[in-house]
Amino acid sequence: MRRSITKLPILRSLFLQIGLPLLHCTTALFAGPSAHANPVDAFGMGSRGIALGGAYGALASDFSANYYNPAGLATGDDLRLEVGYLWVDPSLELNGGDLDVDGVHGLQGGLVLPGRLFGHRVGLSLAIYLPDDRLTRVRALPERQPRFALYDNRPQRIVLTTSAAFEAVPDLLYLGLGLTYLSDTGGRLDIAGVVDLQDAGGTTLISGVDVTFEAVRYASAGLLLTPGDHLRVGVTFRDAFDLALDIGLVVRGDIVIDGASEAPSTIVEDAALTVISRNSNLFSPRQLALSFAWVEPTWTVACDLTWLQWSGFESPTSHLTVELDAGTLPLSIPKTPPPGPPGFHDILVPRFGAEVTVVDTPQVGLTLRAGYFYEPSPAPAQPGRTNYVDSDKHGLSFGLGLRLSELTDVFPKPLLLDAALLWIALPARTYTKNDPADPVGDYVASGSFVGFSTTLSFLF
Amino acid sequence: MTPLPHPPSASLVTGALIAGVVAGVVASCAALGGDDGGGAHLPNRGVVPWTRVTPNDAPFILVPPANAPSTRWREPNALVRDGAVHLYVEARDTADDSARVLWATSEDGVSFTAPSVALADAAAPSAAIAADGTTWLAFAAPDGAAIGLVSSADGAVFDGVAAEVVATATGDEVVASPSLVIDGDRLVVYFTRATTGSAPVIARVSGPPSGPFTPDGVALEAGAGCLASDGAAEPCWDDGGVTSPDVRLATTPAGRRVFRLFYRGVHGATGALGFAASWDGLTFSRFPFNPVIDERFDEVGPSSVRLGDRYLLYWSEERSASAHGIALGVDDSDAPTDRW
Repeated sequence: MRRSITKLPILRSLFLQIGLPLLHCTTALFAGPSAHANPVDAFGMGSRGIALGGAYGALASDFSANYYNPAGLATGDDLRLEVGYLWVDPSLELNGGDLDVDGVHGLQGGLVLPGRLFGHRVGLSLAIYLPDDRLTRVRALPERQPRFALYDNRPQRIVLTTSAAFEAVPDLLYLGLGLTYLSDTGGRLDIAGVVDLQDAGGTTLISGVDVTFEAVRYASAGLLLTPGDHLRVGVTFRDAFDLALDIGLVVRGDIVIDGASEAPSTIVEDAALTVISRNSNLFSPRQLALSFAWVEPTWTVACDLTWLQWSGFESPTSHLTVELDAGTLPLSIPKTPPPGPPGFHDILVPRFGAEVTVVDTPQVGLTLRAGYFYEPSPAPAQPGRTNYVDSDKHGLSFGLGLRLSELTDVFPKPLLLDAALLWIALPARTYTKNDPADPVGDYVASGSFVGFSTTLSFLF
Repeated sequence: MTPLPHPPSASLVTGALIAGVVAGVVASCAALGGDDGGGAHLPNRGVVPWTRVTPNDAPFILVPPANAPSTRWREPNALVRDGAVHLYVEARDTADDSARVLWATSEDGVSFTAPSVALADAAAPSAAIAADGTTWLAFAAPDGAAIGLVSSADGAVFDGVAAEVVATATGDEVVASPSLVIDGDRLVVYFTRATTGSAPVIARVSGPPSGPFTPDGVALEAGAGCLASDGAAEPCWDDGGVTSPDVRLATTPAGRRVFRLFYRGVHGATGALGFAASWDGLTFSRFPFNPVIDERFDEVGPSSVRLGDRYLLYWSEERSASAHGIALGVDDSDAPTDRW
């Protein structure tokens, strides 16, 4: 649709003075974000799991089992209190220019409470990822604006997970259930006052902001088989969730001329501008992970294969509905067409990890770890209006685990210190447009992440 | 393996670890706030927005001498050679309708040397540099009867014999405002073709430098089929015709060739500047947010270049009999994409 030059200057003035700033306020403060899932999906949880490339579904028994496989929580005998830090710095580029996507850093940790019930092992646990920049971030970007769709707001979340597990068949079958909570934001902006039709200086508006943080949750379930001393097989299901937000903006007031003077002329009394933003605010794909591990006394190998249902991803772009009641003034607000479906597709993510213990004494143990994963991009080509940028990911990780035993009477059980280094490479992906006059045009996306994770575990 | 001796300062080690964790918690919790990232260095094609570099009370970067009140400088054409902008401008004397082409240079694209005459008895210049360094200049006859082509070794003075590229077939036809593109070993010339009673269109001819040039057809016609936000038909901003093409053969970041076209769209008695592009140079698609320049002063003759990381757009305006000249807009986003 081509833009007409017949629009009235008066409409332009009103848009410039009210519409655009308010739309900006709406999107900046409240409206839905453009990225999805959560930081744990993006980078993992806990240092051992990250060091093993995320191939941890058959091995996890620490707090990160809340994410990788809650069934593993019933395999441990120790009460674990764990705390750590995750730091990931992105360098995501379009045409070689860094978009300055926000980094991910925050506290991670949790508590694992083992026990026995009717002779069977049980485990209760709580895990948290607490970003230290912000509890959550929401924003909406124009449909055409390029953004790394999986990393824009995706990691900017607080994550809280609780799980319970029990031993269904002694030393053979463990089952677990979990609930993961993430924060989200809703809100309403009310503005009232006087709008000067010709002079922004004569406009006086008073605003009120009402923002709420809401919790969303999704379920997870896990199964762990331990047939024999070496083989471990896990199956983990993580449900999808998709939260739709309706954000409202209401402006009421008089439209005047000479608003800065002592006697302004009122053109319209009780005019109203209503903006409603509806969008898919937070999406995490349904996931099913199949995990294997072979455990020897001094070494372990593991692999995971995870299916992620990205085809359920709905458009992250806000659908704005704008209504203007300007009395007898011949003003109208252009309608915005609803955003189209992003067309993401399901993916399979293979993960591999290995660790070997190189020092094992009663006082000290040292384990070295490495991992790799390949995550194909679920994002399709972007030949049209949208620019949901993504690329395949190759993740490489290294880590170590340090066990210190008999340090002090305060901690009679070992103290575990795990650390991991993470590097994710996004190979260059070229996006081409069908329309040669597309406002964004062709571009090449590429990037990388570097990060580290540390976890300190106290066993009781 | 021999067990290690019990560390004498074990409690200190434990305390240090705990203290380190606590310090990390405190430090990280203290780092609240921060900007929302992800919007830096977004791709910029150099189509919008344009920021005028001159103030409202002196809106032009080049104006004719004050002692030549009947002279108009218009239809600028820019090219970049050795990091400097070379600007060719039509100088038309409205008293006798004669015209000549002036040439000036600038290191920054804003401040130009005093113009000198590059070609006499010519209007609406458009220059391009061939691979061998030859500067070709397409120009219109001052009366709109033909479009010619001439070359120069230095781009400053064109004193060779001009070749005819396009000639009008009938008396009610005018050809004007050529835009020259070098596509491999061929020269492509876009130009305005206006026929009495019809809206002007942008047509194209092409051929080897030695000629002959053959017609390729119409590249862009007057806008039609525009719809308002409510779906009702409304006049297009360029429904009165399209003129003054400025075509650049560019390369996208994906390595694809794209023909970029800035042009003047006519609506009523005035015009504004718009953008269109084409993969093949023949079928052009309009920019969805046209017009890109609409100062309401009848902008004419756009010409765009990329100088370093900045896009520059020159055009001519005639606000009144005493306020006219060459205007310049700059799009200096730090992530330019299309290059040529």
